[in-house]
Amino acid sequence: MNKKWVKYLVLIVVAGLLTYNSVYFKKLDTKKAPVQTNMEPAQFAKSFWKDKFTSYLDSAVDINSFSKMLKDDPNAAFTKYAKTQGIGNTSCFLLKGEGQIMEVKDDHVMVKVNSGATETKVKLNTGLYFGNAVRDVTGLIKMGDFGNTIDYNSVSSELNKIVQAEVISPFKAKAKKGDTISFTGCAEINKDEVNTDNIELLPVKISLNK
Amino acid sequence: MKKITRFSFLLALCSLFAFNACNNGGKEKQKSKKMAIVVSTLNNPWFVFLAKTAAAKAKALGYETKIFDSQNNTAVESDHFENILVGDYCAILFNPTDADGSVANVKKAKDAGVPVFCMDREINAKGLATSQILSDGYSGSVEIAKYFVEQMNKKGAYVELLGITGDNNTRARSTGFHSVVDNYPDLKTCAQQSADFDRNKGMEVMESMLQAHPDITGVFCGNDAMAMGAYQALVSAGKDKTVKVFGFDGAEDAIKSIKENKLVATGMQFPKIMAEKAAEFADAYYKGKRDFEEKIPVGVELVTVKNVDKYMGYGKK
Repeated sequence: MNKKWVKYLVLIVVAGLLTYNSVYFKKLDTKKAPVQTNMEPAQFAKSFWKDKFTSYLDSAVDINSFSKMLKDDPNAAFTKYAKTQGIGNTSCFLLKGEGQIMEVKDDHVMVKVNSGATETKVKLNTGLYFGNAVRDVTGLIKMGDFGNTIDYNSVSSELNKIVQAEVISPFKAKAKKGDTISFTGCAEINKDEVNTDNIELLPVKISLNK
Repeated sequence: MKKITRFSFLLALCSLFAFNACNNGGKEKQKSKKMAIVVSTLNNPWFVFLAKTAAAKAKALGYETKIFDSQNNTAVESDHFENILVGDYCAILFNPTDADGSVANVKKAKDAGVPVFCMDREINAKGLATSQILSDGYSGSVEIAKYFVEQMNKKGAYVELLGITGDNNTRARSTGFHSVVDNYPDLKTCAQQSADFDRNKGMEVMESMLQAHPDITGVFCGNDAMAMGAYQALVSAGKDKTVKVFGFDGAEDAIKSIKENKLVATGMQFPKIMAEKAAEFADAYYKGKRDFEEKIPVGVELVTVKNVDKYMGYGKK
């Protein structure tokens, strides 16, 4: 009698183990649909600009010391300051400086930067901008954060619109030759084509000192 | 005695099933050193190069390889995955046919414990592919578009040949291009049509576009195969000197055409980097690494007659 009970008990345990390991319960949603994001690029860009980007501007590198390092040892400048998305030769740099406006054109403003004995000229891009420097310069936004590259690229485009509306347009309306300004901007530099004589920046913060 | 023997046999059988069930749902089984390379099509030299480079790198790392051609068809791709998953492959180096349509295949592989490494094209899902090494088509097209605007002197009528409509690269290249060109009101789009990234279709579509829009002065094509087809149609119509053709990919014949002043520009993608990186990642996975960046963009560079000498087909010299 006892033996029979042990036999049944073992069979029940084995059957239970089999059933437990053979049947899985999962939500139908997770089986059926891929993981999708319902993100709003415009909203994401707005929040990023307000909550993260503007506070990140304090970490900008002085354009004179950067320019000198880029001339003397480009590899060191890239290693220390570059923000690069994925694999590629082009990197972004966040730079700041002060100087006097030498020339105002439709799509750019030339600035002579105060740099002691040497004269550094910087071109501030005030025309249409289509690149990804604003999105990429902090290194805080990664492609892997997005469900697809379309959202990732839309965020870049939305950030460019914010820069155009909040920084470039008000500056263009007031900028005059001879004004002194403080600026922070993003530079995109190709490692294979470093041009230290002409640094071009997309301004992301400008104040007129007069 | 007979009863005990029968009981023992039954018990042994049940234990075997139970062990099997536990094993499948539990720890990953080490697979053979075999990598499957699945590409959307082998009817385009760019993808042939991608597949062969991935296979060569995997072989150099000590793996057997097999290349599968999906023929731009997700059903064919799905059959390949079924075969791969029963074929004891340790990884899949994957060039998806469709950003949405290929998701189910990657999910099947993940569920079976086979890591998938996407090359060039992405799938619209997070957390399924182990890593996706993707060409940054949007930024590349922005660069081409800036050059397009300059070459067209900011005015004129143009047409656009699109790639496969389900592929995110098609959309990324087109939106990148239009994010620039649409800011110039004197540049008018006359027509936009898919030619499926195919050279012959590119020629056919261009022929019919030329009949409807004989006054165009520019063509933007989502890849070099279509650009070469479009150029052929322009030669036949005697318009190759008046219509500027822009491609995308950095294929061998496109680079040669830029040198000969036939095509105006292309965007150099780096299939060698993407294919080799995917094989290296799969090797690292086999050896135990698990923390991979989920998506990695690979930069695209503008190639024109000014800098073409620095480039060769599919990469830099």
